Amino acid sequence: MLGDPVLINLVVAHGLEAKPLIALFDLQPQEDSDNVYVSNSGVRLIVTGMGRQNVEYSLAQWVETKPSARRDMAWLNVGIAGHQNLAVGDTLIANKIISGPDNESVFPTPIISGLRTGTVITVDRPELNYPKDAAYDMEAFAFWRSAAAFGPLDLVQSYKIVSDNPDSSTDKVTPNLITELIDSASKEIEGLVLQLKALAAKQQSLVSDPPAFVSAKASYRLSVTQEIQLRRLCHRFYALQMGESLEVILSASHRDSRALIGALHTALGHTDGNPGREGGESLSRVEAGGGQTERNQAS
Amino acid sequence: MNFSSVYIEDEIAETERVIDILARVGDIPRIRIERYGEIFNRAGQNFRLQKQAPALILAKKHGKKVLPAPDGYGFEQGSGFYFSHMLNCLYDCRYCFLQGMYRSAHYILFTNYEDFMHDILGQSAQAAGNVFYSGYDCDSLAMEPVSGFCNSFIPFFANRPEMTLEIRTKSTQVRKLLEFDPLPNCVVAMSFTPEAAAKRWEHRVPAITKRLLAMRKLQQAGWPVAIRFEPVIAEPEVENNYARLFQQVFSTLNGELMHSVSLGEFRLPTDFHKKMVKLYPEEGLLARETICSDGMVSLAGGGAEMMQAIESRLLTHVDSSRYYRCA
Repeated sequence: MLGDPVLINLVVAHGLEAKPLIALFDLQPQEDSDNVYVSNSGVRLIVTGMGRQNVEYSLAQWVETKPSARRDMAWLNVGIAGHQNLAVGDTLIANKIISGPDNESVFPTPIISGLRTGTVITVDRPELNYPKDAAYDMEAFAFWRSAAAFGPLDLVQSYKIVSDNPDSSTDKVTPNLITELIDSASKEIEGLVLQLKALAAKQQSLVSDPPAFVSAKASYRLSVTQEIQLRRLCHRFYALQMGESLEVILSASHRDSRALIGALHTALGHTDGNPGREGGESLSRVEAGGGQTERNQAS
Repeated sequence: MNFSSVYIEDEIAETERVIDILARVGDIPRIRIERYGEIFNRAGQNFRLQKQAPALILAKKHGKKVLPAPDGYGFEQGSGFYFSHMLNCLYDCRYCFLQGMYRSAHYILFTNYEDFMHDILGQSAQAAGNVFYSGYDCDSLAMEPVSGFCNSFIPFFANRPEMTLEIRTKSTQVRKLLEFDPLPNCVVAMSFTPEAAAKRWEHRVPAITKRLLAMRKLQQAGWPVAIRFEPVIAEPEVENNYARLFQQVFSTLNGELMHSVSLGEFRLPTDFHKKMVKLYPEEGLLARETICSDGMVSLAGGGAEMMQAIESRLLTHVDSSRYYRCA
């Protein structure tokens, strides 16, 4: 069921990194693209190509082709990296990403628990000397910048698996090793994806249109302002534990959208504070709906 | 007190206070930054998400450190000043304006206390007002085991009896204060709402009984204590709820020895309210009918009549000379 809402975009540089993830999340190629894969469990994978320019280009292109895509998804960069001190196979979540050439830094929010954290330095050529206690990669900085411009900053994370270090040079990083490394980290990646998906799902649920609003929107002709008002009013009914009242009001006949909104305002205006004191703001003066309905039947 | 990480500004990383604080926060990731704004002021952050795993930011406060208190904020009615050595609060009160004020839920601790003291002295020399409020943008005591605020500021005010410090808090962290001799010019002010409101909206805040016991210890030790009944939130049974709270407070604390008590209605700047609604669309308190006036939002159903009724009940427990209404 490819129509399921996507909760997380995984971003990898290379097909070798993608392959184990495609299997892990049961991803299928997206029809109109040769570098995007989707699953029926809310996961999308984008293979960008190596280096910062490829990442920037691929993500910009993806955004361009998906102008209506939700913005409240999580983003996770998964990839291999060199490290001064960590052993091959060790993993980390970036809590600081430095752009090697210009020393600029960005800071992923420390929202993931239970994993090692550390600095990632994004370089333009493979780093063979590992001068700092950090992971060295070629994409994380560009990934974070691009994804944070599109999605919620706190849900943009970068996860690195150490593939080389001073004792095990880049010469030893073979296709088989890359597959093995990602396979061996698969449980951790799954856990990480689950955590981020849960956070993204919560965010999406908070900004989603309430079902009652969707149904009312289909039944009435609404101006842009009225749409905003109606959405908020529906949210307020649910927040005030008045879902049943909302249903009753929505199922009644109202002259037009203005009358419907008036009726909802009136119902809310009579609920607050001490009965008998101030009766609510001027909204309570809005006339309740009634009479013949003029619903928009176009839907 | 758990932080997900600690960010440290390069400029202060090697100072004695920062080294001490780092020794107290435990083994958590340490991340060096140039300025706190790189983390705290970024667009696109989500306060609610970050509140699940807030980090501590150790920073140096530049610019003005002491500011005029908002009109009607404190007992000096406008001639006081406030300073914020911290931004954001360990607690998670759903009515709190901090949720609408800051983009980030991380805690900032400004560690250049001596610069704050310098500015307090400068302000005191310039203006008639000598009352300084701490706890406007944070809870002054909640992070005491990490911040060491009392160790620095209590001796400072002890040597300057012409100035008054109000420490506003919801915390029971009074152990450090009790190690000092009580200061007549240092008022510890605790905020309370009735039990029903506290349970519903004051997440992670110590229970009323525990806070009252902490206040009693301070009062018995000779510290001036004050009670801030804020924010008063209009709801059914509000008068009876406050009547019960007053009974509880004044049967635990000696009203005659109290420095001051105050009442303040729930009010928010309109912009803050809008942001809070977006963060917590399912929160009933923020979904209620509101009244907007002069850029401030208050709840329909509250207002002067409710406040008057609660005030009358309060004044049966405490002399009116010790009472003020917070604007």
